[in-house]
Amino acid sequence: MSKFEDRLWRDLVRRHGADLADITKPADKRSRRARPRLLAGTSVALAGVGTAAVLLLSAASSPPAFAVNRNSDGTYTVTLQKFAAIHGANAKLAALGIRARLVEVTQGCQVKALPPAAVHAMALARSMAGKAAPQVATARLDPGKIPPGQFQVIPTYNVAGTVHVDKAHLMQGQAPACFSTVVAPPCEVRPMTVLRNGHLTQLTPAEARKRAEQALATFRAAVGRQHTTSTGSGNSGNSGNSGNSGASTGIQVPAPAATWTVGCYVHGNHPPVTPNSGNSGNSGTSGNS
Amino acid sequence: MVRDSDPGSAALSTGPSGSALAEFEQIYRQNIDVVTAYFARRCAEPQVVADLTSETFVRAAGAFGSFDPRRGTPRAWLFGIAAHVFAGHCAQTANGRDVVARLAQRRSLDSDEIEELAAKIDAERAGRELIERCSQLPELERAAVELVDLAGLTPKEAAMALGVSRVVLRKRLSRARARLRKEHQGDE
Repeated sequence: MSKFEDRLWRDLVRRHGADLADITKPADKRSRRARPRLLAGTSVALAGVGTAAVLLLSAASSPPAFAVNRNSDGTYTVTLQKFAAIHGANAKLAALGIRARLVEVTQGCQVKALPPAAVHAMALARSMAGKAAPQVATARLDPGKIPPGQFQVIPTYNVAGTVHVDKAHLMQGQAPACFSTVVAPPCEVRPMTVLRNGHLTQLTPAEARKRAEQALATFRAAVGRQHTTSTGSGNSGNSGNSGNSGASTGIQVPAPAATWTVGCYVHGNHPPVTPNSGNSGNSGTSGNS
Repeated sequence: MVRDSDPGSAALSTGPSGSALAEFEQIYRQNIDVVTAYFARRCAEPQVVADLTSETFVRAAGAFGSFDPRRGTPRAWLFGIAAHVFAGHCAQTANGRDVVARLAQRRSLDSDEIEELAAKIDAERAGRELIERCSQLPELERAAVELVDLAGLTPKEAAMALGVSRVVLRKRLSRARARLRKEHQGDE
């Protein structure tokens, strides 16, 4: 697209993105009424699953859905009822200008950026699979606490038809399309050895970072293309049936040369908001999404 | 690393499937070119073309919830909106209100955008000449020729955009083409 067309699109999203994200097309109108309703008192946090939490929903609510609700303290509550609704929730977050995304955890993914605790929580969730369904997962975000240049990512996965979200963590740059189930290394730039003029030379951290960023950009472009072509038009369908097997994306793109900066997560000084357990009572009422 | 603080670009890169936003983005990408060309055939000023194109998509975004693809294609729907936008623009121009209205809504263009739109206007010169030659035709016939022969809509889409039946559209189109042919032969 030309520059004019790109700018116009950005203006449109800025002005109407939130409205568009709310629209349910005529074909889906029957499911419009049944947006996810968290029923206070019916939710049960899954104790012992580390930072992951799953809330049981009353069996009356059925349709695939998500909600992004603004709370009175300026934080947002993201509610997912089905794994397939992840795209809708992300669209809404994008439209609201919130630098946070739900990121699918799939076995086939190349992006190794899960904190060890998330992997542990996922394993526990798997071991407790089959308790009850359908279920709803919620995560709480504070856009004000996301530093510039970083994204808050919320690992989201499917275990035996139940959607789970894990504790959000920060990543540099954009959110990836998916996470591998493999534990990520910490986010530190290590020197890299290259063959230069016939000699093995260590790159400086700055050079190494630059190379890694270039590799990351190429990788993400490839993932984006693959994701666009593989997901097609439908957003529902295989949500609740396949555990964590990576069936939703099956991305086959080459891993970037320097995966150690791609697959890392930021610890520490920027406390990501969330654990998502137990605070669901307010999300059903605020709803300015 | 790639930064993404802009919600617009975030939406572009995220590419959510299945949401109305993603659907609208697809419609936008598929039709922005033809809608811009539609206005470029009518106006020689890049800023006016930009304003009218922008207005068309702003209205479309606002009304997207009521768009029913079973009743017609997105392109036909967009051209229907574009026709209204242009009619409104003409009415405002006739009333001398267009300068004020445009200044109120104007999105300033940078030099690259002006250049792009000027090139577009230039590329549509032949189309503009055809529209001028059609100026003697009744309005519906003129619009039918433009939408089908210049904008590339199918007769069915053009009928929807103009709010007439397919039969009427085909008759008008056929009549307009015959007149233009006759006029052309007369010129020779």
